[in-house]
Amino acid sequence: MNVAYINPFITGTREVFDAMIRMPCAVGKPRLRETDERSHKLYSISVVIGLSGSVSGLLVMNLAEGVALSMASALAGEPAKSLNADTFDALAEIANMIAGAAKKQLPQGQVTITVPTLLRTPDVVYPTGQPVLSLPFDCPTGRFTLEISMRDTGRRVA
Amino acid sequence: MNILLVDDSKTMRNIQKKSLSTLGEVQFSEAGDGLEALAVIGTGIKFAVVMVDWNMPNMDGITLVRKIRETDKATPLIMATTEAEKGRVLEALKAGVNNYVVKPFTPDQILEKVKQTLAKAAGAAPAAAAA
Repeated sequence: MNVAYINPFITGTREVFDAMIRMPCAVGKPRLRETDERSHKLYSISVVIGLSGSVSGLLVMNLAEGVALSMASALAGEPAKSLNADTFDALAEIANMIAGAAKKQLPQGQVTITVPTLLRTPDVVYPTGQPVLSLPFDCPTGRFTLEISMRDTGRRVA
Repeated sequence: MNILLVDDSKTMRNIQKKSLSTLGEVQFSEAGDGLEALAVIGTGIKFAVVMVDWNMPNMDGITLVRKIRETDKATPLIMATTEAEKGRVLEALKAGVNNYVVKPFTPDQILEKVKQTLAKAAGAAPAAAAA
């Protein structure tokens, strides 16, 4: 997977954190996810967004409970005390905005994103036959990852 | 003034409320999708501005904008969305939005967009009345 796929997600995440979460956030070293990797040892919640159009794939945001609550609190501007519907709504909106900010920078052109789905991390199913890039981000309350599995469909929408 | 916030994210509606409440005496109505928005509009409240998200279940924002504009050419509509591609902006303008703000936005950015839109609508109203 080339850097043209990676950078939009890094800058998209930074845009969301700068404008709306207002928390520092540093990207770590990208790596390819191993096929049998067990993300649920570190993370318990995942937000999944499907990508279609000129690319096909998934964006998955993986978080531990503490980081999830702090990010939701920061976005909402009020404390998120538990993993309830309001917290999930905030997390979904964060993932939605990251995907939206990233897709406008993807070189392939018009990409459609799905409404976010919240899952337990072990329940996430990745597309087969496509590499999954894992981007770690460190914010004051801990680490979360964005995982991107994407292939160019060759379709170009004006 | 009355403002309608249409977004499937309650978090996003609350963020918009917080920012736009600084406009002064504002009564907010909310809807989680285009169908709910049409039901709220159908109650007859006159809105100073309607904030519309694009990607929503049941009825998306662009469809809502087109539906509103079938009978109401005047109410200012602002698309507040993650859709930032030029083609999408043009599509929204063609459908009848008056302004467009891309998420993520700062509280000041959305406030400024709404102020611009209200000012333009106020400028247009006297001209229309005089005509």
